[in-house]
Amino acid sequence: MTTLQTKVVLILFFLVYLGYLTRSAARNHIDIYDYFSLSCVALLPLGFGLLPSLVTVISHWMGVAFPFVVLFGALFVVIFIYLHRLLNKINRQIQFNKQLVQEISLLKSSLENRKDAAGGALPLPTANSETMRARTLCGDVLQD
Amino acid sequence: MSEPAIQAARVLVVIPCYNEGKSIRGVLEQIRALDERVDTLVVDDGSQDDTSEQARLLSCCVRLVMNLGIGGAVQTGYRYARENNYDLCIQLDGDGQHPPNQIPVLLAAVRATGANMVIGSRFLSTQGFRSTRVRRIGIRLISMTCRRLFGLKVTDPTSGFRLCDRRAISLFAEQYPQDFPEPVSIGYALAAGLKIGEVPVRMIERVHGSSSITGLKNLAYMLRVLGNLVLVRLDFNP
Repeated sequence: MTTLQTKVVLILFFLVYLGYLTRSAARNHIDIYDYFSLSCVALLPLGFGLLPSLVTVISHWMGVAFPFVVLFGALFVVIFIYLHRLLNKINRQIQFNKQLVQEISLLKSSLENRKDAAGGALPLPTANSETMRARTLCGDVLQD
Repeated sequence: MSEPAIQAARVLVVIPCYNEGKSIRGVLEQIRALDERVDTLVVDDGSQDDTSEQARLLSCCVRLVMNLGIGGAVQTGYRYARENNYDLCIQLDGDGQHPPNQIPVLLAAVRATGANMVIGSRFLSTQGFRSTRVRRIGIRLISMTCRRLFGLKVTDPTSGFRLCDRRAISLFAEQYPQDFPEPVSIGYALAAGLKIGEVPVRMIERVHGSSSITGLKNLAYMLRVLGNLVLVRLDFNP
C-alpha cells in the first residue's frame, strides 16, 4: 500500500515536473516526442503509486516478486527510447554539419578564385550562383 | 569507358592533406611533370602549417574551414569532381607515399579493365614500401573479410591510391565513410554493384610527418573497420 505522504509527493513531483516540461515544449526547447518520453519519468511512478493493485497484478504476470523491478524496467525502456532518439538526432546533425563544412569550404574556395580572377573585385552573385545554393542550404537548416 | 573516351576524359587528382606543408609542393611538381593531362585539387583538412599556401602556388586548393578527418577531406574532393563534371578522379596522399609517376598505371588499368574503381596495390608488386609486419597482418585480415562478405579479393584494401570513374565519383560524393575510409569505401562500392580492379603500384615510405595510427590504435582500427564492413554488408542504402 502506498501511504498518503508518498501519493502527495508523487503528485507534486508530477505537477511540477510536467509544468516544467510543458513550458520547455511550448518554448520549442524539446519536441513533442521528447515531451512524451520525458513525461513518463513522472507518469510511471505516479501510476505505480496511485494504482498499487494494478502493479501487483502486472508483477504477478511478469513473475517478479518486487513491483519496483517492473517500475525501473519500464523507466529503463523509456530512457533507452529517449537516448536512441537523441543519438539518432546527434548523428544526423554530425552528418549535416560535415556536409555544411564541405559546402562552405568549396564555396569559399570558389569565391576566392573568382576574386583572384576579377583582380580583387568580387562579381555580384546571380540567381543560380553557388551563393544562392548556399542560401538554399541554410534554408534547409532552418526548416530542419 | 572506351579507349578514345578515356584519352579525352577530364581527370582530377584529389590530394587530401593535413599538415603536409613540407611534402605537398614536391608531390604537385611531380604531377605537373607527367605526360598525362590532369587537374589537381588539394584538400587541406584545416592544417596548422602552410599546406594550403604551398599548394596554391601550383594547384587549385580547398581549405576546409574545420578539420573533418580523412573521410571528410576525400569526400570534398569527390564532391568537387562531381560538381565540375570530371570523368575520372584519382585519389593520392599528400605525404608523398604514392608516387605520382604511378598515375599512368592507374589510367592504363581503367583502359584495360573498364572497372569503375581501380586500386593501386602495393602487394601485387614485389617492389617498393609494403608497410610494417603488424599492419600487413591487419591488411590481410581485412582483405579476407572483404572476400568473405563481398566475394571479391582485394589485396590492398587500405590503399588510398585509387582511381574512380563517374559512377564511383557520384556514389562517394553522396556517401563516404568518415573514419578509416579506404577499406569501408570498398564495401560501399561493392554493395552498390561497382566493378573494382587492382593494379600493382610501387609505393614509397613517407619522408615527412608520421602516421596517425600507432600502437593500440592499430587494434582499434582493425575492429572498427571489420565492424563497419559487416554493417555495410548487412545494410547499405546509397
